[in-house]
Amino acid sequence: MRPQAARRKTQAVSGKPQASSRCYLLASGLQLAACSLRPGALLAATLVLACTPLIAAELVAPEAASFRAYDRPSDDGNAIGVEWGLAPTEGEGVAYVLEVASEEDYRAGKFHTRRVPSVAAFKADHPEYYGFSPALKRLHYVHVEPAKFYRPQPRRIAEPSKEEQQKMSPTARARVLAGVAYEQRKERDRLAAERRRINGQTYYFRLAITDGRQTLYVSEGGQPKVVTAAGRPNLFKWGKANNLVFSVLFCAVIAGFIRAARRNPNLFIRKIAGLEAVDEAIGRATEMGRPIYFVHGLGGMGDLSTIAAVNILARVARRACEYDTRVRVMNNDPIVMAVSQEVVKQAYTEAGRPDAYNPDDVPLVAPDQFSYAAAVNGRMVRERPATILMMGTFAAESLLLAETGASTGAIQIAGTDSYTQLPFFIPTCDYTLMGEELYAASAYLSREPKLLGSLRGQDVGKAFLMIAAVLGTLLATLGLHWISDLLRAF
Amino acid sequence: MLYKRAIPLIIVFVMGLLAFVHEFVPHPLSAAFREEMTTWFRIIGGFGMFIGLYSLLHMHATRIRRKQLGWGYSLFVFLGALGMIVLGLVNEPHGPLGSAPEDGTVFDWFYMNVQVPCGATIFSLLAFFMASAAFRTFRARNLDAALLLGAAVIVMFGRIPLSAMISDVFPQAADVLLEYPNLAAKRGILLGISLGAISQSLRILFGIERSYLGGGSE
Repeated sequence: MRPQAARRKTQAVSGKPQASSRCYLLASGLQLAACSLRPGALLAATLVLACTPLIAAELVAPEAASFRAYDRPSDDGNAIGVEWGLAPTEGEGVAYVLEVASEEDYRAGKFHTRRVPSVAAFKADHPEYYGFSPALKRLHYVHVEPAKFYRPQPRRIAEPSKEEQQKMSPTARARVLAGVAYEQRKERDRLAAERRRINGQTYYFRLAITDGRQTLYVSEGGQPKVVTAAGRPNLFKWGKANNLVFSVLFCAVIAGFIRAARRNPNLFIRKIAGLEAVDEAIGRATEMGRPIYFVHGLGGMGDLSTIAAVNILARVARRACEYDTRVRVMNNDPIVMAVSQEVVKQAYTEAGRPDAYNPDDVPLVAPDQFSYAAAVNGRMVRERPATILMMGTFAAESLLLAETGASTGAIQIAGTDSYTQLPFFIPTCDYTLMGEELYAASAYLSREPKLLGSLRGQDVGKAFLMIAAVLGTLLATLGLHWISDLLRAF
Repeated sequence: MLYKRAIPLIIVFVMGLLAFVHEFVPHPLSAAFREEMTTWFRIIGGFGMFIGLYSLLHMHATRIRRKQLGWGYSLFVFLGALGMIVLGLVNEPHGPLGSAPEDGTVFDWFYMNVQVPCGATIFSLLAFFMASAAFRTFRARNLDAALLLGAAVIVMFGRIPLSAMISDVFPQAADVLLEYPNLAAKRGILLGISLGAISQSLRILFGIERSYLGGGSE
């Protein structure tokens, strides 16, 4: 009886008539029928009577016990989750009104409101925070970011206009602009800290259901129920627990194979044609007396493919130095260039010929994409290298480089994880390392048991994923989604 | 070899582990750490640009000095680099140490009217290279190549307006090829890349793979 009591209270407060809509419509229909015996009027009266139960359904609020507020899990503390159960009278035109207030506003009776359609906003819409339980489909849920209701006030930082700047001396202008930039950064930090403080406070929530004519609060003891919560930073993203478990398992498999490789160094690893051809390519350059070009692509040292390429470069440079063949490395990024210089220098030293190292063979060609492509193409055409190795991250310049290289008659081996560029490398290069083959290259070329062990672990991981993909497809076809849910990435 | 091997390996391990942990920790401290690291990366990148510039100019100076093949092009490198450095420093109409080069400066004019069109020209060459590569690839020498040719013809024809004017079947057939067999192959490659990336990261993190530090793995 609590919802009805709350309804009576709301209606009393809002001053709406006590007679229900159902009675009003019923009376109207009968009045119409009684006043006129014409067939049209009778039909209209019948329609009104037939529709009466649908139109005039009474609003019922969700169970008070189901209305809860709590810190949203797995976040940085910027949101509070609010949930409530389904009400029997939901549908188009019916909405929930969630009221939010800070402690101060709550005492003053002031609330901010947020309207939520009753046919939307379910807890099941947020599996990244709450998983995939079917019970979540029976709960409405919204997350509230208090800092959006109680925005911190930004301070205005005075910045000189362009006219004022032009009147200043260059030194004074530089000093003033540096000061402005410093103040802006300080203000950004202050606002971020203020948002964290605002989100961390306790907030009060009330919930009402409305159809536009009447409003009914979720009530407890005859009063609208009030729930409270505060946002807190969390230490773990539970939505990524599956990633963590699979990562740890995969790491364990690789570590196991590395240990196994230490005991038994003769592990079988499938042949990779592109890597088998590296020695042949270096030998060809030696026989022809022409240089080897090592083209890094556009990646920086933060890209795993560039690190893999640098690892390959170390082995190629050492082998080439032993054969007294020059290796020229084409860099697009200054840090990659610095690392490549160090790697080639070390490889030459280990090969016993540090004097053969020339830093001009490992230059920064150009930091811009198409300038880089033009410069490398120009050098390829002029110097006609015997071998071109293109390893790393590539974009639109891949075909420009590979097609020009093919026209010079060089043997070309490409390796990239930029899968959109693979269709360009495959027709223009003699061998192409696709995706993970690039990462495997260094281990494959070194033939060191520990590195080969990790490749074996990688292949086992791939087999597991293949089985999961086939099984997941079969189960999804049968309407069971637990494998796809288990492997979902957030 | 402490500073050349041990210290870099410790830095790699600690930073790699922290970056891994960051993926699973939503706490603001973790985000602040990530931002700090990104800032450091940008600072180091800034110094790297000086090294790169030195390398570029040194290489081209050597080419000019030794009159190597194509040394005349190296002169353009000096002309272009010095010209843009001067324009950037003068920074008309804002003046030296004024606002950063932006719309309306002479520096910007040269960038937009020299560098950008040159880049676009090189990019446009791609169309011709693509045609020649396609010509070589799509010769039906065996069954695989014939299948590739057939798929390519369907996709290319399905992507032009004429095909839709003849029948809706052509664009639909192109979409089917792209959305099913092509996407399946692409995802297979992506899965392999992801596993390879994890494996490679582990090798680097635990110091098994050290070639990037210079020299062999051991």
